[in-house]
Amino acid sequence: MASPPDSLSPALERVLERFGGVVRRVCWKYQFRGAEVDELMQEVRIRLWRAHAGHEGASENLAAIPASYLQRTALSAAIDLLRRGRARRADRMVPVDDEAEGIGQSPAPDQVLAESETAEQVERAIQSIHASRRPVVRMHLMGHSREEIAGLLGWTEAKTRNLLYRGLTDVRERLLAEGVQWNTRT
Amino acid sequence: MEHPDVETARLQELYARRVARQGTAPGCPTPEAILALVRREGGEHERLATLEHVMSCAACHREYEWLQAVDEAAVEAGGEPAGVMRPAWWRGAWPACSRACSGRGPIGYAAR
Repeated sequence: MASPPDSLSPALERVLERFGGVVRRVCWKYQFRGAEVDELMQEVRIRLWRAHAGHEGASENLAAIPASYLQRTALSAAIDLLRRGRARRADRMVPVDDEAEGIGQSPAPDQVLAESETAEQVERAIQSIHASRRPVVRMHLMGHSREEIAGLLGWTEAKTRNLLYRGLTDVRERLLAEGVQWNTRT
Repeated sequence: MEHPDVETARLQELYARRVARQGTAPGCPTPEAILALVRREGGEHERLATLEHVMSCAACHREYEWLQAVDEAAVEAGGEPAGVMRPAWWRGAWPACSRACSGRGPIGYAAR
C-alpha cells in the first residue's frame, strides 16, 4: 500500500541526502559498504520521522536541525544496530572476519601450525608487558597509526611514542628470550 | 604515514590473524562503552580497559570501526568532535534523545 503524500517528506529527504552523502563516503573509507550503511540511514530516517511527524512546524524544524542532534541520532541508531548484530551472532555462530584467512592458495598445515604457535607466543609476550603499555601495543599491532592512538586517547605524540616503543621493545625482548626469530629482510 | 619495519609488520600480521581467528574474546564491553572510547568520554582507566579488549577481539574491533566511521561522518557533517568537554545537559540528553528518536518521548532539543 502506498503511503499518503505528506509535507514532511521533502524536508526529511533533504536532510538525509546531505547527511547520507557524508556517511557513505566516510563509511566507504572504513570498508563499510552496502547493507549496514543502508540500514543505518533507514534507522536515522525512522527516528527523525517519529520525532517530528505531527508536530507543528515540523518541516521547518527539520530544515534547521542542529548537526549535534543529527550526530546523536546517528550514533544512537548505530548502537542499536550493534545490539541487533550481537543478538544475531549469539543466535548463530558466524565467522567474524572471513577475509582474515586469506583468499587463494591455502598454506601447508605445518606452516599454519607453526604460525599459530608463534602467534600464541606473541600474545603471551604482550600479556607479560606492563599494563600501561599493552593497549597501545595491541592497537598498533591491529594496524592503527601512532597519530590515531594519540588522538583516541587524547595523549601527546611524545607520550604515545614512548609507551608504544617501550612496549614493542618489551614484546620483542620476550619473544627473543623464548627463541622466536624471523627473517627481517624483505 | 608510518612505514613499519619488517619485524613490526610481521608482528602486526601475526597478531591481526590471531585476533581474527579467535573471533570474539570473552567479556565484550557494551556498545556504549565502545562509543565512550570513540568519543573520549569517561575515565581514562575505563577507556584503556575497553581499548585493550577492543584491540584483542575481532568482533569488538569491527564494532569500534563502525562507531568510529559513523562518528567521523557526523563530525564532518558539523557534529561535535570527540574529546570536547560538554555541559551535563548534553550528556544527559542521550537518553532523552534515544527516547525521542524511538518515538517514546518528546523531541527533546531546541533548534539553535
